[in-house]
Amino acid sequence: MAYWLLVQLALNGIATGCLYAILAISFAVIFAPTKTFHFAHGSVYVYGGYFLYQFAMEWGWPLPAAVPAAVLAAACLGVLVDRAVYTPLRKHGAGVMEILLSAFGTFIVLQNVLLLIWKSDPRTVRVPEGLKNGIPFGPLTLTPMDLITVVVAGVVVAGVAVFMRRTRLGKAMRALENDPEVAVMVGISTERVRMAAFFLGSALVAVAAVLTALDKGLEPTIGVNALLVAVVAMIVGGVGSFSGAALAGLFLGIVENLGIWQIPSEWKSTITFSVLAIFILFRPTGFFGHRVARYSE
Amino acid sequence: MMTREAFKWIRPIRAAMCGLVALALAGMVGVAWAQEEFKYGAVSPVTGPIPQFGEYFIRGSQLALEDLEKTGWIGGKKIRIVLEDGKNDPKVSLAAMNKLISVDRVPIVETVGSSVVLALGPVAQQNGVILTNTAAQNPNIRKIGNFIFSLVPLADRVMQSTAVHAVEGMKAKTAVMLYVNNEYGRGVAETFKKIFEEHSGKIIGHEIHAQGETDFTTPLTKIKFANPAIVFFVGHDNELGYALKKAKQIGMKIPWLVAPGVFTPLSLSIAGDAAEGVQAADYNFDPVAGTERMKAFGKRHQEKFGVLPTFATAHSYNSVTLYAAALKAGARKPAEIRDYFLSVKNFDGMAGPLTFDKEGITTEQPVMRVIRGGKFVTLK
Repeated sequence: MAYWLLVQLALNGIATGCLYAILAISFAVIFAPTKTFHFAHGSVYVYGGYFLYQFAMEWGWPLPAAVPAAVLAAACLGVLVDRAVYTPLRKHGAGVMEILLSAFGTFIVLQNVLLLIWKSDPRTVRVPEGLKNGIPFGPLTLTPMDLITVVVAGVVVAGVAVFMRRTRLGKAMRALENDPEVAVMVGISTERVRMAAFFLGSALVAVAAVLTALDKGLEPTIGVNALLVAVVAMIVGGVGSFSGAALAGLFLGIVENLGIWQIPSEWKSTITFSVLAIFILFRPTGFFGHRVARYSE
Repeated sequence: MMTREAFKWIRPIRAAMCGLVALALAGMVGVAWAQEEFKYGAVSPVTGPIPQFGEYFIRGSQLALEDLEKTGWIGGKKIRIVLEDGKNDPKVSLAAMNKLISVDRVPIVETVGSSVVLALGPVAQQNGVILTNTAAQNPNIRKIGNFIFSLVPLADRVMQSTAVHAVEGMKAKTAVMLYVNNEYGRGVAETFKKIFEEHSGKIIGHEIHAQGETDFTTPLTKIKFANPAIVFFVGHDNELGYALKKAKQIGMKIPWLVAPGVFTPLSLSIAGDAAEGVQAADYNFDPVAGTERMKAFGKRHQEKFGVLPTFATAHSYNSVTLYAAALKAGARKPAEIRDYFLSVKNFDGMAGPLTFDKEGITTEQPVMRVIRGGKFVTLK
């Protein structure tokens, strides 16, 4: 029976890891080309979930309409944060620390605005009956939301990979990430790429928020954990590597779940940060990326 | 450049301005005198992991103030709530408490959360300020001092009937405890374990979750495979809702027993039909099937805020109205208010008659309830 538990934990880990992979890619899509430590990304994540709640529960929209609307609204919010906060600061010559502080401030402001609009009560989004019950396989159980998360993560990873390699905008984002000066010299519009990065990253984090809202529930404070997981996965995956971020997200989810096989589950986040510490000490380039230090220069 | 002509106007203007400032100050003093009021402090988690308890306080105290206003306050003098956000964090709450005592000079402070009550209690005792607890259950609260009053029964009393119900009512020989990682969770779980094992039950495992946790997949998976007779849950109402929802998703069929005050309308709204059959130790306050007064309070709360009130809302209402009763009886200093609280017998509270024992803990006894058809049904 104990080994079935191990298998179940591994399956749970894959589902959790897929969600982490989406979070990691969403952060990496913004951080790699813009070099902005977008702390308010955690708030955009929470807003993505609350937008879904507003559309589906308060306004009664069907889920097929509410989900894309929530993703779009969160994407616009991400762009708005960049345009209203980071861009003016950057134009005034703000450095990494100033941007980081402003991002932290924006995170707090957005969280308080959320409390004003939706209050602090937890919110849930009603899901169709078919998604509520697990599917048993002998002693194991898979939930429909786990399966949906795995499929969505697969689509997101493949979609981002194709976007980055095949589209002009994706190539421009990679060029900006590799060498901003040369990218400008060859005529790439940094402003346009920044907007695209914030739009895409915010849309992706909203996808993760939608999955969380449907599977678990919404609290105003869930953004911090999501952001931490995204950052850890991005670093472990290797800064600048989207496939590395996705793989690291999956890796973290599985390690977190298997790690608590014989110890209480409260140690999950300790395991996450232990993985981060090990990577920073022994493999600072992560799975596939560059040294983090390069980005603070 | 200013001329000599211009200078001659400065003195009268300055005099006029001084006069105006003096008049304004006198007016302010006059207004302050006319609006003298009683203060009621609160350190409540308006934000942080359990912000719903901040809302429970705000709603309960608001309804209490409305009722006091209808009856002409305290000889015409209002009670003003001075609310500080403690975030359910002992350090933040301590700073808020010190501000309430030294700056606002409140004679009484209401709060919730075992970790917070255990942190604020000694400060209240040292400064001779009343501290009322409207939701915390850690049994160590009893030992803090004679300025601390609990409007909810503590775990040492409540767990007796809860653990006995587990063994005799639910016929459980084994249990796994799932509790929140703070003073409240640990205090209640340890007390339950002691009494459950004294009655020949056996705790075969425990899982701990963070405050405000929404993802219970991992601890519930482990509990499912441990296969105890019951799951004993200690935490907050939102956490319980998420846990029950996930338990149903992963096909867990083990019966649940829940610590007092955890199961609220919020848990039910999150868990939905996954809450069916859950048994819970609970307080007397029942806005649906309780006394006519409780039902009227429930209806009024529902109309005003769109949701049914919780036990914590009712106890916040009680705490404010009890303070008002003490003021009406002539108590002004904290020591006088304390003596009034201790002398009260069967105070007409919203959660039933309220009497404190000599240690300042309510004598209320919990009741056992079960969720049937989406409603709380009291077990005989």
